[in-house]
Amino acid sequence: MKKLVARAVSAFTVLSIGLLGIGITSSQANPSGAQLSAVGERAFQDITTCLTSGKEKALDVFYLIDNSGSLSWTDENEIRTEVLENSLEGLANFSEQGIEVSYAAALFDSRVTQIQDWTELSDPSQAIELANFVNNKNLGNATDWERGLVFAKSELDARADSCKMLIWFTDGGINPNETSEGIFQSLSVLCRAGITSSSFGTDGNYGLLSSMRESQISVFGVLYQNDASTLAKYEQKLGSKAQDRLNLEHYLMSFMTPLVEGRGDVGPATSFFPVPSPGPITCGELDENGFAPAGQPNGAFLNAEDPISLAFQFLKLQSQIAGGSGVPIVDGKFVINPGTAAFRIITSDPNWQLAGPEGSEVQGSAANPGQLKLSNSAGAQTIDFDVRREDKYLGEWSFDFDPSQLAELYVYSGLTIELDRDKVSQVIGDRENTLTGQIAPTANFLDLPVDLSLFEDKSLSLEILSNGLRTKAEGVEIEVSNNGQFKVAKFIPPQNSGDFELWITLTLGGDFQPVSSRFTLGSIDATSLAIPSSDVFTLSVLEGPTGVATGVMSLVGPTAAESSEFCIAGSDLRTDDAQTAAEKKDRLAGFSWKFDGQTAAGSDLCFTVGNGETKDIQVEVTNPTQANSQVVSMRNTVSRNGQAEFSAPVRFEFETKTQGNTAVTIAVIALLLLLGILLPLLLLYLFNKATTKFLPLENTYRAEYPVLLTPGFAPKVVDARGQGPRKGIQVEPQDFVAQVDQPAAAEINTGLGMAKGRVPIIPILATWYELQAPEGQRVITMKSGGEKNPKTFADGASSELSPNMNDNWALSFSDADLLKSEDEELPGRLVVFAPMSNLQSYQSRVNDILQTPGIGDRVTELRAAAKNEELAQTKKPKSGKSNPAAPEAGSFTVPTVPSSIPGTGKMAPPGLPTMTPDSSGSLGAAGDSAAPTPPKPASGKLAPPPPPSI
Amino acid sequence: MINPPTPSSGPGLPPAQPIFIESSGEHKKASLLPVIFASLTLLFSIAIQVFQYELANNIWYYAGYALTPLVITMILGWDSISQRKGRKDPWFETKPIYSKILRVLVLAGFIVAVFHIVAIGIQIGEQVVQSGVSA
Repeated sequence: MKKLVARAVSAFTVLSIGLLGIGITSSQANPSGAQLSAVGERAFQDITTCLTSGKEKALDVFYLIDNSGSLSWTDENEIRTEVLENSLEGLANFSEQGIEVSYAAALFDSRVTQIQDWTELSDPSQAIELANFVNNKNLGNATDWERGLVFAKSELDARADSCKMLIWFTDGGINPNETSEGIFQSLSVLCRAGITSSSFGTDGNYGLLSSMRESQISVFGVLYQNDASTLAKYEQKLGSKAQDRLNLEHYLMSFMTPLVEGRGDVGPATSFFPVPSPGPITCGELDENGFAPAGQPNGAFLNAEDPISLAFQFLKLQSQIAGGSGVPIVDGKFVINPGTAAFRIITSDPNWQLAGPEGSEVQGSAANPGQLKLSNSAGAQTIDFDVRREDKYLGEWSFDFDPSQLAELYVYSGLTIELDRDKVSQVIGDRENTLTGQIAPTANFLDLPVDLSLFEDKSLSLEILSNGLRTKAEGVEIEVSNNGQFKVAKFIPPQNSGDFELWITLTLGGDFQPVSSRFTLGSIDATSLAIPSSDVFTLSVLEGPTGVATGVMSLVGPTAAESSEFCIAGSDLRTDDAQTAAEKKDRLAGFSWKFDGQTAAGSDLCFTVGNGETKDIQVEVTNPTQANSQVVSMRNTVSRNGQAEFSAPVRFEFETKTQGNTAVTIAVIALLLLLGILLPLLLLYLFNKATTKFLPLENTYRAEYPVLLTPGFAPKVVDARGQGPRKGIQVEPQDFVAQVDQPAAAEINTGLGMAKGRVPIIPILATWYELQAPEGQRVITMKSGGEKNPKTFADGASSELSPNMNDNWALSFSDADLLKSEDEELPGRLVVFAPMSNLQSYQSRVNDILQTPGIGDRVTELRAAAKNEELAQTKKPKSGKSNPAAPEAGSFTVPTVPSSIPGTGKMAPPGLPTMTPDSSGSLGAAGDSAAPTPPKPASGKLAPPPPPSI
Repeated sequence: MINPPTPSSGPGLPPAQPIFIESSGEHKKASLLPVIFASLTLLFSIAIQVFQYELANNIWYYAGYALTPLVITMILGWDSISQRKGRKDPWFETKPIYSKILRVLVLAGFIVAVFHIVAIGIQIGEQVVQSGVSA
């Protein structure tokens, strides 16, 4: 029992917090209190809209707390004390969001005792002080709803312009003086006239609760229906009549719903004493959907019969009032979309686990919440996480909870509407007006810049109250920029004079709740006043630190008065400097305004405009700090003529641009290009030049063989030495000759030509190494290719090498031989480089070279190249090099075919010119004839080749 | 790693000296580090451009300018030297594709650098006017 009471009271606390939106459950929708009725939900939307409207946001909360004697058994352990404390602490959250929260409290039984006068809530610890007054030490004898509600209304009516909220907590039905007459008299005052023991009276003459709605008081009624303790008490007192007495109590409690929400069912039937038959009753004007008329706040009723669900609903509603939008959790998954500032999960499962998207590193559970903010309230938990629109938190989250438990998700955009007009301001009745403002971050996300492009939608709508209904305003032009600035132009008030209600609603699309703000605008006849020709003035571009943005503000004089004074505020309402550069400059204080030559600096600047006169006021704006920006500045204006006065903000828009020294800019760019691109390119070129060298020749050996390329379809490279059948090369011990060690060099004379390291003009291209064949020679080397030096690689005039000479070999053929018939054996020379090794390795290396696929194809290409060259020489005998083997006129020219290795698709290996030691011992070019064959060793293992003679 | 075999002496030849070839004792190949560093450098430089409004400080343009092309060009040189030095080892496995990737990264770095350079140029030109030295 104690636990139940505690939970119920806790739920009530949450409700109190629900001032913000603490949950309230409607008995209409669900007698268990699990669900809030549509009217109840609307009640929270109404209070949210109120808190979004106007500049000076204030919230006045009155706690009306039952102090009847029944609490001695329904709340034996004074749990409501804790509830009140928690509720006030919840209200403190609104104070932190820039809303001025004040509260007062009274106890009611047969009398009313104020326990707290109006006090601004600045510290959550104030809750403890107030809660101490709520106990069972001085309980009364009755439950006089009327007395308490009358007192509460008088207290709230006495408050200035604010959002007003009454939290009414009771544990029993209406019972002012223990008589049935007293009950029905009170109900006639509270609900509607004419309620008696036999009738609910008639519609039309509504009572106190209806007048509360008309007074803009949002009523949240919380009934703690502790049937178990109540029945036990009745059984002690009444014996067999206890159940009937309990039915009567339920009957009387049920009046709370129609009182709070405007309409509800009364029942069940009871015979304890005469009452009207159960049925629906209406206690106030309602629209066709059962809601309070447009412009009046709805109320919400919450039944605390089920403490946990009640607590859950309280938290849910609190989340909604704070701007949260419900998003389903499907199979334990939910998606957080761009634009989300925060989200909240409410759950009754005490063993949940939450994990963020991959890479977010968010992981938490009920036992270890980690980065998550966790709070408990009467068996329900709230899990809060600030997404702050960070990309790493966007995507799919997983929430692991018991499906039999409750869990709901609410997402927040962190945006609110701020209008340049206050929620009560003026417009001119017979012309187009412009309403301006901005979408701004809520107080808890002030550091997050507004970027409406993140949202699916950013449409703004305007509604006015017409015939009791909110109707979309027609003909207006609405502009909303991504930084939140908005402008509603061409708004013509629905009436030329008098007040009217207006709502501006921002729809963000997706999962986000629309943001709505409400105004009361006074439409005035301005014929006796000077008014600006427009609400928006666009000035010229402010360029550079010495530039001036200029424009003309035209004032139209009165037509029904001799003259009128028009004053421009000396200071701006707000200036938005939307700079486009990466680094923003703090220059708001640097804007200097002049109106008709007078500097606006604190005091108002006033002008007199005569009847029918149009006065042009020159506007000048300067700022010594230049920036690229779109500036919007709001400045209040007042027109006066005797008692008549019209005040409205005027909007100035202009662009600011930076001025740069073109010569300096170009010089800097050129210098940086030079330093940053050209210089690195030059350095890279020099680096390539310095490093594109063959590796040092160390322990390098070389062999040279006269070879023949056999004719036919499967040409082979065979040894040209000796006589008899031609076959592969048998490496002899003296074949490989040691080369003189050399340091790294960019060029090496191989004997067949120069081996060179080549550096491309464009230094980011790769360097390469090539063998350049001597005049009248063509070469094939271990590397084929046409990419790096395609022209000469193709015709064999040069061929690519490895920078490590030990890896290289080359086959060389003379043009004269290449031009001979393909049916003849083609003589050539093979030069092989290798690191010092043994005869077997040398033989293996030579065999590998001879078996290199594609040599035949490559030779065919060289033959074609030689013939083409010869043909060209024949046509242009005076140009080019001589070619003794030029084909006869009219001979067939073999077209050039791409180098390839048959069957592999790879390029055929080009050759490297051979080197043979000359008589002086230096590496010299070998002649066209075959090199002398070294003598065969007498016997034994192969010795390394002898060092070259020097 | 196994060194190349030492050739035996032949008749009339001086005794062969053991051949020592510089080796770390394991199969070496070109390092991927230059490619990784260059990629990160380029990505960081691009990120500076992309997130310039979030970074909200002009100093980042200078950082971007230092990264591309200066640092990334130096990384290309690092790869060239290291691969060329590695060739002294007969078992060294060169990776021409690394050099090719690096050249592409350097080229991309030059393109990104142009944005940093223009931003710096405009900013300095504006500062000159702001300071009153010149209009």
